[in-house]
Amino acid sequence: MPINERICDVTRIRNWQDSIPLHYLYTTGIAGERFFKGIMQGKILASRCKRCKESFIPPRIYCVNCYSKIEEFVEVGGRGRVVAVAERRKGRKRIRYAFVRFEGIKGGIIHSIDDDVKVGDYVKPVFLPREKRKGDLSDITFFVKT
Amino acid sequence: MVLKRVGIVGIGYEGFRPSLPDISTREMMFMAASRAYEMASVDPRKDVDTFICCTEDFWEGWSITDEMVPDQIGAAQRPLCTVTSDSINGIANAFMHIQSGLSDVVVVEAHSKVADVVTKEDVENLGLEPLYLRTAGVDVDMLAALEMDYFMRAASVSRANLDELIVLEKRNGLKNQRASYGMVLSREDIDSSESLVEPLKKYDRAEYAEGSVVAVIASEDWIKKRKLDAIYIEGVGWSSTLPWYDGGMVEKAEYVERAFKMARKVAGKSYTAKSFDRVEVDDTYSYKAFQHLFALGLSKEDVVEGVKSGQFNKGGGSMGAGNMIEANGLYRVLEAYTSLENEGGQALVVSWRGQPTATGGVLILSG
Ligand SMILES: [Zn+2]
Repeated sequence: MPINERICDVTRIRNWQDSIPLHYLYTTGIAGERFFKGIMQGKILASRCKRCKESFIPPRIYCVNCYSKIEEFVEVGGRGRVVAVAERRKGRKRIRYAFVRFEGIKGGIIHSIDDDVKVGDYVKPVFLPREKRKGDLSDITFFVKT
Repeated sequence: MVLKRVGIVGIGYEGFRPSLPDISTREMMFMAASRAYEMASVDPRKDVDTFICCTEDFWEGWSITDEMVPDQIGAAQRPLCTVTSDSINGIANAFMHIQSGLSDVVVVEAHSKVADVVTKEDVENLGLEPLYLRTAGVDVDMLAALEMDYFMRAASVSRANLDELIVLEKRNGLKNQRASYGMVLSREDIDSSESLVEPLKKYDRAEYAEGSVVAVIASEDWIKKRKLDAIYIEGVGWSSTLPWYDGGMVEKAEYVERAFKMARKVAGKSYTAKSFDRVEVDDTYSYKAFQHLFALGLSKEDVVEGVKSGQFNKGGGSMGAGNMIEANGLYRVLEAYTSLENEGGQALVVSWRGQPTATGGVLILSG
């Protein structure tokens, strides 16, 4: 045994509490700028690789498959499909989230959903009024059934 | 060129308890390392060429924490590096140090002093992508619950299948002196347990535990010269793939599939998951265990049967011993090592870096 005596009396155990207040700015980048400007206009954009013809959400300026540079952004159709649902209950409040996928797009959006949305449902985003949008995902209030 | 064989000659640990309040992180590492050195009959100040520590600053509550690693494992003024990932990646690096001829003896350490992290959920959530997940209000439990729901539908895995795994592993944990969370649990207990985020229940997620594991890894020449016994590393692989929410697979863990393929290539043998006497697989979440087992090429029937007959995680896995963050890989190696030392045979170790990653490692060991 490398330490011959261990403390058995918990009142003798000393510790010190500290916290680390950290604050960051996360740069949205070129693809994020396009995506979040789209959100402000009530559109969901995907990046599309010309070479392998695949589209991605979240969008990127490079292709994860072939590593080509991506310059094309396409608007996804008006509706997505719910493939997974999770629900947290806090008292009587239900906080529901879904993974929403879009036709022909790799990836998707995880966001809150209306109370009656189920897996398999087609959904569309409900945006905040234009003047209240900030250009991030909180501009979408939730997804509702189409 | 024939590459050197690499073996584990000693493995020591301290802890495996929900909390170790009387010793500091560094003291815990010192105790685990001292035991491993005793077992391997090595003097770290003379016999070890390189040291590797698997650690993440946010779990330590201390940036550049690796700067504070050397002393307690006997590595002062010696070559040491940190691998910021699961400890299977640390072992993979040790393997390469030896095969490349850089070292004859390498020490790999990983630990969890997670009870000291007062706001664990803050560290967990800081791992989430900020622009597309955090701004949508997603946290780690929500993300896991969504993955679980998506996976269970895609792979036709039922609540009953998951319950069976949890009940069995908790019971296996009871037979393992190391496992703090071993217990007799019924399906009803799981059913009536707290729902974190539906469908994720309290028992679907392994509780955290504290501990340190240290492995002494050496070349076969050195092992033979010292006339030591060893458990040999036949293959090692690791991979990072696209997470499911970015378009990656959900029905099986692609990173495990790729890591297993790499490990088989390194071993030069066409193993299947059924070739092994012992399979230690990441089960930090109940559904992830299934996802990882499917990635090894096992069918649903194979997995369900294997769970029933207790083929996987005979020591209780993380459900029994707790989630030891970066030390999860080394914990599974310790379980496999103990079994191979006593019973011989071959073991497969599968590890995952944890939420929200799609990163994992695979190790093939022979006794
Ligand atoms: Zn491409």
